[in-house]
Amino acid sequence: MVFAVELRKVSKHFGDVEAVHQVSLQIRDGEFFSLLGPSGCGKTTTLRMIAGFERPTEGEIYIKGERMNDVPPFHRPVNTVFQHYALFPHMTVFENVAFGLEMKRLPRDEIRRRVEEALRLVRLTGLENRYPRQLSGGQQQRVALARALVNRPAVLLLDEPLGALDLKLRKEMQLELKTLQHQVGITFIYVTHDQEEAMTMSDRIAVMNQGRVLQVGTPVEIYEHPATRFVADFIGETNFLEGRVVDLERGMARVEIEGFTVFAAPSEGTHRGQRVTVAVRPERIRLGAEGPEDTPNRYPGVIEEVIYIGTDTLFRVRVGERLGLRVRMQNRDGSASIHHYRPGAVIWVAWLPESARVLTE
Amino acid sequence: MFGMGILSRKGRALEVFGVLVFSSLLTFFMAGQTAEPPWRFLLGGIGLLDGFLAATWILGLPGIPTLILARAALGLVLGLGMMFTLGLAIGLGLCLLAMALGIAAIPRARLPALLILPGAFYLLVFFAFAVGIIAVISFLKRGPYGGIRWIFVLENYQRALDPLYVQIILISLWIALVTTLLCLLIGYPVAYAMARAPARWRNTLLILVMIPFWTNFLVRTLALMFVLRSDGPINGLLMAAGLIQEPVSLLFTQNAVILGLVYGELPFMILPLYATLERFDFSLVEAAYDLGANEWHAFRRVIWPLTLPGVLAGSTLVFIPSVGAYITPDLLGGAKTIMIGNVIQYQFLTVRHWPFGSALSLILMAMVLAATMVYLRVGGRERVL
Ligand SMILES: Nc1ncnc2c1ncn2[C@@H]1O[C@H](COP(=O)(O)OP(=O)(O)OP(=O)(O)O)[C@@H](O)[C@H]1O
Ligand SMILES: [Mg+2]
Repeated sequence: MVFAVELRKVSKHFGDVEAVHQVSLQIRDGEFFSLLGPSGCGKTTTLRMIAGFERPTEGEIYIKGERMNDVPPFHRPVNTVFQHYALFPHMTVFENVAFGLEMKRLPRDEIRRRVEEALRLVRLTGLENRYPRQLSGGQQQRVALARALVNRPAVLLLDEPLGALDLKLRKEMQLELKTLQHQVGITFIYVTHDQEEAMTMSDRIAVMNQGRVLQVGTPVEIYEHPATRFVADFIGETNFLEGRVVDLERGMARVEIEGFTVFAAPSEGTHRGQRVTVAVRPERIRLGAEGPEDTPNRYPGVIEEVIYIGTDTLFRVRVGERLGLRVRMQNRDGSASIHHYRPGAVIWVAWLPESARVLTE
Repeated sequence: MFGMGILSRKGRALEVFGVLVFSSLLTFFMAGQTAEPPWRFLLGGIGLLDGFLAATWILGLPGIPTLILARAALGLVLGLGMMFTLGLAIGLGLCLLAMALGIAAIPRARLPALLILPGAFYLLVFFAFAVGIIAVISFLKRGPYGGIRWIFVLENYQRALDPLYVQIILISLWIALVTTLLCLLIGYPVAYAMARAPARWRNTLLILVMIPFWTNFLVRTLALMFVLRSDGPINGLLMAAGLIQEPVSLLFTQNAVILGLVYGELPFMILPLYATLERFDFSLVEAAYDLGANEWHAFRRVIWPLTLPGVLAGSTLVFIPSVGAYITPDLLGGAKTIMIGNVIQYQFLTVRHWPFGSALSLILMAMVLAATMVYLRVGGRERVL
């Protein structure tokens, strides 16, 4: 299979700094692929190597099956939406968007037609003659998008394109971008440090940290089966419980944690006697006046703190001497939860074995 | 302030305006008279009044600055500079005193204008005044032993139209043009490389560019003479290499003059270019590459138009002194390459024909001004920032 973009053990050093370490990725045609990770983890560097602005120190980059290591950026079939847009300040919106087509020496009327089409696509018709400084942040962002898309690249690279926008506009643009990507059918590689954004938009996500790719998968895979503690922590909230595997039976691991027994889904290579971390998402933990019968993971506890946040209520529950759990409960019955569960109340917490996951790292 | 405080704002403005017009007319009327002692006192009085006006403006009267500047320029041009200066100084002094005593305060909005004042004053006295004098002299007759006679004539300008002088002016413009282009051609890559150098290198490079300024310009030009001489190192090297049999004459040619000018003016091209390039956002170049532009197109369509202000500034800074240069053509051009600066110098200092020298100076100024305006207009068309 020919991938839209393929990285084979790509590394990048800046002097002593290893910005990207042995990254291998296979990005499929038409995919919305996100590079997700905290600040400084090497997302931008990875993207810039694909665009051709940085040369990999090691490894190989393929676009549409062709080796790109020695191809200059202006000969690569990719276009970039830059983090700060990098619009040409001395050109109008029209001239900005037309730039790429002019470089391809297309006929005037075709350029006009395609620029207008691109501006229509990003809903900027009528602003052709404005200069970038006369546009709002959201409009500039769309010009940058149109300027890249108008060239019909094989792959569109986006470096935190929504980073400078306010939250509401951001959410709108997320949906718009996703719709746009369906419309044009171009492969998107999208850099973000916002896990919610990545989850909302992506077909697949590569989670990065310290120059390495830790896990690649669909949003569901990454959320439900995080490969490492870092991934589990970075994507959503997680309770981490440290313990030791005492047994493996019927596809479940039995883990001793602070004197309690917890059943959890093992990951690859889990073995008896191993020191492990068990990860449980707060929204998978149930609260009740009595322990439910359908799961062996049920424990008595005391509510320490209640935080009402509208859609949900967050609880901090103490189990035994040393275990603190964060629990998230949806407010299906309005604010009933906070009347029901007050600080100091003695309750039961419980979760299904499948909801807990053994992390061996 | 100063007794005007009782009047309304508008009344004050009218009052000041009236006084300005009156004093201007008076000065104008008296300009033809020789400044005999009794008149002098009057002129001094007018200067003093101007000073007060300037002072009242500083203390918060709107709409007057242009008038005052125009009035002051007129006074200076008509040879009343000293009196005006005196009046202004006294007026300002009184203002400062008033502020120190807490009688008056400078409105916040006036502060920026105050900051310009010393510079404006300096230019007024040493530029407007000087040019005014030269303008007046250029219409007068030469005195029998140099000096001037107060007779209005146009003969100096008629004489300047002699093909001999026209040709020298044209050659001067040509030499300056070539110098500017060469400086741009050499300076742009240097400035570019400096701007792209690692940040810790940049200051060192900047100092290197300015090293020539550490030595006197005359000494440097003399050194260049030595280098270019028939028995100088260049000819020596060429002969030793067997490229030439006889020494070639490098010195005392037009090319030597251009060489000297380029050498002397290059830093003035590099510095503004560097300033613009250093601020230039090079991610725009990446954007251009990304959109399929090769190096040349990225330069032509993005870097060049956005650094044009630096190019215009540098070119103007090189062109203007080059047209009027006289030390360099004097030393390196010998008798064969004469530029207009040499002629002016000769008229002023050797034959002591001040009026003709003044006329040539003004013509030169007008041409430089015209050339610069056209240049800025044409160059300015390409940018929108
Ligand atoms: N040109 C460079 N020279 C030296 N170090 C660099 C350079 N570019 C990036 N780095 C380093 O490489 C690492 C990765 O940087 P990169 O810009 O790829 O991070 P990022 O994941 O995009 O972060 P952010 O979310 O903050 O944009 C960082 O430690 C950074 O300091
Ligand atoms: Mg980045």
